[in-house]
Amino acid sequence: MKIFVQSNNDIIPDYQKAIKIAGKPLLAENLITEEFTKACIEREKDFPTGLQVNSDLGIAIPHGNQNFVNTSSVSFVRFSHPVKFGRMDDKSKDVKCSFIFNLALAKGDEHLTMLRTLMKLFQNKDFLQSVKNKKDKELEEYLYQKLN
Amino acid sequence: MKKVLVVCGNGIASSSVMLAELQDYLNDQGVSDVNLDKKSLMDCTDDVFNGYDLIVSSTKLDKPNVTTPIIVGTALLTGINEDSVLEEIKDELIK
Repeated sequence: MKIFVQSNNDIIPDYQKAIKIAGKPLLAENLITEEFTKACIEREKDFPTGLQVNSDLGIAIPHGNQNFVNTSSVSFVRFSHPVKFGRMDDKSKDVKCSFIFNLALAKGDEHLTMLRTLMKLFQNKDFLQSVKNKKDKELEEYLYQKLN
Repeated sequence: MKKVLVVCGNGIASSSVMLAELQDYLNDQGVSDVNLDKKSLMDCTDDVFNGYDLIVSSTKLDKPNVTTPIIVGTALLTGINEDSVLEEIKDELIK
């Protein structure tokens, strides 16, 4: 599946804006419909996806209704100014996320495989270091290898 | 036979991962007398929750009318502190 990588150096006020940024390249290539990003934002409110992966890193994995996905893809964005997401384990708390993986997957079982893969990778220091340091193009290739 | 319900936002992805982790662990531990189910949180009324012996949820739940014990099982998804949560679940099941 296709992987998109963006690096964002702006100050992003909220997760809604962050999810819109992530959705943009997917919409441009018609991989999702406009409703997809709305559905992700809506879902994030009720069931947030922020994870405190370690003491100094938060990652969010917003995802939405598969009916709004034309072709499966993942949009990755790294923020130099971390964005607040609600915490998956307790939505009354939040976590500042430097990375987001917006999962636009067309099938339920793809979510299952993708989540398992990502969660293993999030425990891997080399992976996190690579995601932090590689240039956008290299990272796109790297994530493509890791997530497919 | 104890009945365990695993729940997450949409009942598709996170709960499936959590259920698979839990099933593997219980098999390893030789705890066989357990029936595991998964659902979306949106489909669960208090009565549904109360029909189970244990709830394992991807997120903290505020359900004052649910008498079934609820364990936050995000760790089964992320792998962070997974062992202690698995033990907590096992302890609840062999009570």
